[in-house]
Amino acid sequence: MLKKILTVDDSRTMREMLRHTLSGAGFEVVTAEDGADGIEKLRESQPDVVITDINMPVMDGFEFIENVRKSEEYNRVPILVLTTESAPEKKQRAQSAGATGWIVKPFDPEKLTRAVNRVMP
Amino acid sequence: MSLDDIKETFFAECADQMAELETGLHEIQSSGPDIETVNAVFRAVHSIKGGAGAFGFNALVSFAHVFENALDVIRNDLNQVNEDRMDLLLRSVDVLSDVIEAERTGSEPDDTSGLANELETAFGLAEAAEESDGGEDALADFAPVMIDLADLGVADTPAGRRFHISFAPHASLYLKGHDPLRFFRELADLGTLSVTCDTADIPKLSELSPDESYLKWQLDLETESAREDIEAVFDWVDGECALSIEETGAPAVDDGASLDAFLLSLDEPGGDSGIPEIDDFGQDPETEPASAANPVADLIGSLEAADIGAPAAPAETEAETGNSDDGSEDSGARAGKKEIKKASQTIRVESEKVDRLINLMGELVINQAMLAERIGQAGFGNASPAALALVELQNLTREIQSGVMAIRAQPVKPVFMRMSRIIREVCSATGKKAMLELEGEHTEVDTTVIEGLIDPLTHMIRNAVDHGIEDPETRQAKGKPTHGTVKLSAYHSSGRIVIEIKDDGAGINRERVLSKAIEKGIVARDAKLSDDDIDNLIFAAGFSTAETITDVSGRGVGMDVVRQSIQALGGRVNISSEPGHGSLFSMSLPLTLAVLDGMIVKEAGQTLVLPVSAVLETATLKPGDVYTIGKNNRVVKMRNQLIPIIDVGRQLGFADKRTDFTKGTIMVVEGGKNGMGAFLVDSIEGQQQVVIKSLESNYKRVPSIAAATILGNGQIALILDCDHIVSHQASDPGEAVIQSMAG
Amino acid sequence: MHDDLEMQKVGGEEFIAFRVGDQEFCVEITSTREIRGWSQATKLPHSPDYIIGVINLRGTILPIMDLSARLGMGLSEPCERHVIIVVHVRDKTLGLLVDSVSDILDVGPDHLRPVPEVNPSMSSEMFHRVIVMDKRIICEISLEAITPEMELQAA
Repeated sequence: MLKKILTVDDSRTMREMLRHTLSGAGFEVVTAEDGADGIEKLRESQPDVVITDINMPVMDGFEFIENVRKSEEYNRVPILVLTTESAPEKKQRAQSAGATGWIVKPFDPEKLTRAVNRVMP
Repeated sequence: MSLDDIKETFFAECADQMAELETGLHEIQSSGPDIETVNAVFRAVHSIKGGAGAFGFNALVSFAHVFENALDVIRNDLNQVNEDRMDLLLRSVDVLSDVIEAERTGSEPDDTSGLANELETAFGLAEAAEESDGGEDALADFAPVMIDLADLGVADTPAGRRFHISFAPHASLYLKGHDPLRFFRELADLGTLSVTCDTADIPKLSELSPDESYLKWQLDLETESAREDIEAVFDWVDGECALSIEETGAPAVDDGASLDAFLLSLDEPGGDSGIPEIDDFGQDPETEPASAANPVADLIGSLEAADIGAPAAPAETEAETGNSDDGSEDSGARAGKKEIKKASQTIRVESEKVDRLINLMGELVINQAMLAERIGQAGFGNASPAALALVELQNLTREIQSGVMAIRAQPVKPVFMRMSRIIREVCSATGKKAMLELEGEHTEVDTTVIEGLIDPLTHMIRNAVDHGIEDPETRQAKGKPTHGTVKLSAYHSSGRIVIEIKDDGAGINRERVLSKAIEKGIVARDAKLSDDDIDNLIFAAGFSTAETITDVSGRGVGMDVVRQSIQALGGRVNISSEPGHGSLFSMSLPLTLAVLDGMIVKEAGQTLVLPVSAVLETATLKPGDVYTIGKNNRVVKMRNQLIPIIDVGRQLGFADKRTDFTKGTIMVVEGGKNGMGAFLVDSIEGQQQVVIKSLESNYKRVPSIAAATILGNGQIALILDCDHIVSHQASDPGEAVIQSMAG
Repeated sequence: MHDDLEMQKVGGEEFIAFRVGDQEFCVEITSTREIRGWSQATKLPHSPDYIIGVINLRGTILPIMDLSARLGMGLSEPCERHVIIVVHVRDKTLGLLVDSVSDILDVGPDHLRPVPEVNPSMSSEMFHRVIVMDKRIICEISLEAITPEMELQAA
């Protein structure tokens, strides 16, 4: 069975790019368009790894990660943060929110895949 | 989905984001900044930048980056907004739009460094830029160097270096989805790794808490990689563990310390079943801690040097760093968050699909009409089951049709928002200052009408700013605010949509307009015209008011063409003006160009259709209803007025002048500017919904005719352009008298 | 006559030839969409006399031009005997009312001539070329030339 990745990003383009890259690398991909949608999709699809953006409407990446970490069942799922913001404080913020790792956009498809494989259980 | 498809998606998304951006900034400009709007605006630019990066649109990325940073300043402190900065941001919107377009068409984008510098200066961005550059590079490359696994375990691999790593995760490490096994895997990729688990901290079972971290590991790595590569493996868990990495001199001779040897040793008899299965990397990390036992330490006993086995004290390199502080709360993103509301469900549908559906609905309407004919011809009475069933069918169809039309109905907002940029351009070209105010922008109208609106609206807005709004000094001298206001509003009224453009400028200069019109022979020198008539002269063919043709309005389109385009949509437009105070363009348009509720009439052997919405009243003509004024002008007294009679057959050239005015049917129709006409036709056949078919697609515009339709019997019926007919009644002497009497 | 035509089958252009009054004309086959019988047209107000009106062509409004009138050969009295040739010119479709369709011709370049300055009763600007074969002279009608008023109005 294919490993499943949930991608959370409010940009249609980014969702499609991620799907393109990750399914090409042999993963099953589920998408969500903001943090709240991400929580729902997480429950429904039970992915092996989550990749999320930070800046999103309704519920941003930080809140999403915090909520996931607070949840009962899925709180240990590896979560990678994918974002164009590279400022150190943002990295700290993500880390303290509970992110497993961090990838900067624009992503190199190889690097993305490697990062995913790093954290894939 | 190919990369090209995704690229298309990107540009489609850019269009959406630009609309968000425009709307958001407009709101900030008119009602001040609020965190939600600022966030939305920031995200719009952020998304564009993200996607642009993925496709290597460097010009777009670099400009969007500066723009984003400027918005970030406001995001962090709403007080940072002022008029000059607002102007810069609005200009940036236009520039961003242009760069996107350039990237989309593959042409060279204009140089944005000028505006970028202005943004950097105005928002104090220069220092911040340097910081993030450094950060970006450092973080981008975290992947460890991969070593070919096949080299592992070969005893006489040329010795690289030897590191001793002490690794004690905090509970938080697990809470962030990390799994020590993975780190070991990665380290193993760097060279030859041996792992010992220190289980000394595991408490009695009764005190064991699954959320606590009790295990620690000692690892020895022989590798050709550098220390940085090892540090890179633990990149993300800075602060989540106690970690030390020490270089320990020459690698030990192969003494079974290799991972492979350890694995092999597990198979030997005497191996304990309680051994944690470090060789199986697919193992669920949760089960691991539970089976830790001392036998492990025993088995690998030969490994350790003296300084191993104790929990790592802060060593040279990776000292234990406590959990760093959150730092300042990301105020921009979190403060003042409104409650989360679920966005209304929408779906994206290709407009072609909807168009097809609407066309099919049209065919259905026609077919239904044919069915009605046949049923009537077959002799089924109106009360017969067949006829009643037909009525039900017609009701159902009408409902489906409304539903289908509603799908294509869109708010006028996007078109209105476009005008924002137009105003900025005109202001920039003419040195005037003007703001756009919107009202009723959520009023909906069919896509077909919306598309047709863009050009005429653009010209009227340009006109309003260029000719209406005075320059700031003049306005100030008149006691007006230096910023002119152009108010764009939309609302529904009797089955149509009304759009008004109101400016608070100087109004129409009637003397100049009149003299120009006389000069161009549009009106006679001695014609008596009301103020209103003079105002509406600007719509006359061949009229152009600009003496100095500015770069803007002078793009060769006069108001007469604007009026024609609006009429082509089945609409009408006129202007009213108050000298010194401003002008008002008022447009009324049908809600859709697809179908029409029509009154079917017979006149001079022809079947014609009038829009029901234009008909105020109908009556059967009786002898004595008609009065004659002057030589030949006939009127009918209705609605407490004398309304001029329009001999429809004659007007359309289908028949000679009518002689008998004692029978027929009168339809009081409104048209033109507050005009009315009493259309005299032979009879009214009925009322039905008709599908509008264009005459212009294969022929051309025919005056007095708006469009055509196909009736149930397959025959074509022309749909009258009531506006045109009322405004162009055959002129006879005394016409003006009648017009004014008819009010 | 037909031998002539057969000799020209290779590398020729194809035309539809038809009769209007006592003369033969033709149009390029690539402009032709279909040929149909006559049906009653709905009159258009204030239209030139050579525009008979519009008919319903499977849901599209199709203007019908009286070719005889357009060529200055007199108004037709449209009836069932007539034939409508549906043509495409620029991006519009219209129907030409003719008496009958005679042939499909495959014409080689030898038989195509420029329009001579003959026949003062007909404006030679309406013709593109002339086909000459045996004793037949068939003028090729220029669809663009007979429909100037249907050009798009300036926006």
